[in-house]
Amino acid sequence: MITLYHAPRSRSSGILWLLEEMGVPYKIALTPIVYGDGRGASAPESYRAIHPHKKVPAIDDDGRPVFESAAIVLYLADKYSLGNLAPRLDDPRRTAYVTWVVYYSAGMTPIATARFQGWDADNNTGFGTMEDMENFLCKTLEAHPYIAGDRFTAADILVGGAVRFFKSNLLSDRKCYDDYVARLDKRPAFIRAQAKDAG
Amino acid sequence: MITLYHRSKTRSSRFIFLLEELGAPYQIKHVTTRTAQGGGEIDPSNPHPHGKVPAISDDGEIVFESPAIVLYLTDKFPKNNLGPQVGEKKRGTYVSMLAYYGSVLEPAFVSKFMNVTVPVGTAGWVNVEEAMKFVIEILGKSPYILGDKFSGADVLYATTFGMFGQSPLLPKSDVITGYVKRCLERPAYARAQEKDAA
Repeated sequence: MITLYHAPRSRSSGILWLLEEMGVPYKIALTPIVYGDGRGASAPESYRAIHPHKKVPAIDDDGRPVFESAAIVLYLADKYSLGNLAPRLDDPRRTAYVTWVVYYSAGMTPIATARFQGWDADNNTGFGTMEDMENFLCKTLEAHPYIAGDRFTAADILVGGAVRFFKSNLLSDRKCYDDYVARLDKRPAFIRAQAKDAG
Repeated sequence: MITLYHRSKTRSSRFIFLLEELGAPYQIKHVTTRTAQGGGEIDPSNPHPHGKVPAISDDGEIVFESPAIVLYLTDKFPKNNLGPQVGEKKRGTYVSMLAYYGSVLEPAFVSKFMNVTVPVGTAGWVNVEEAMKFVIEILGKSPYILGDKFSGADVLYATTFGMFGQSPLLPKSDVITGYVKRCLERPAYARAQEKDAA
């Protein structure tokens, strides 16, 4: 059985969406976190056995913890949805899939955080530039409807979730983002996850 | 056939190490990149969307971001057991530690280098001291990131710590010094060093 360590409307909301897409049984363990605006409270020390820095998301799959959004997506989609939400190892789309899952967490997230914090005033933060990231995103989405090709994959949950979240304040106004998010927002699993996240 | 897009003595060098460990057929394509100092030019033949290294091509399909390349290659070339496969017991820890490298440890070092305070709650990562406390705890208990066996995750962690050496960015630790020595003593690392210099 999968347990999702979840805080409402946080980075773990994406994993809730993934679990709904996969259609496997899971349970939610509501976990306190400190939100960006200072609200909330820190999880108990015992939670460190699941997540070393007491953040969300993390999961427990039959007693084995997995943490970091990119890792959880790679782990779950390969185990429970190989050939569907995760391209198989010999599928040529596997390359774009693993690249985008990791690029979401190691590229897009630090770049967007640097912009949000105002660290990139001189446009040289070591994370890469917002402009490069946006051009790459839109070029990819103009070539095919989903981030790793013609089919929806688990990479869209992370990348699409980030585009939806950053669109209002950090990203420039581009049609490629609006079309992409509109396509994802129609998915029944996304709508179910939103309802569960709201409690 | 795997092609590694590479510039000598950069973050792509460790992928020669990994490819040597895997016993995989590969070729190296040398490319120029823009340097941190602003010199150098992006090579138009480099398929990396931002003109950086490393990137690999597998018969024309591109993978970049170091943790993604490691996972892709250890999945594709399983014979030397460099990474737990889908369904194996340590797969979850393996992907967690690969992702942790790219989304926590590297941003932590970059933040320290930029001399900015990591905002708790907003950033997905933590500061270097907190991240290294976690890594040192793991390596204090076992010789490698996944336990008793060397894996693709060690290619990332050990080469990073080795590269920092005595830099003030990395907190001093005998555990880390021993770990780096253990990993970089491997014959595949020596072969990779030779190829990198060539």
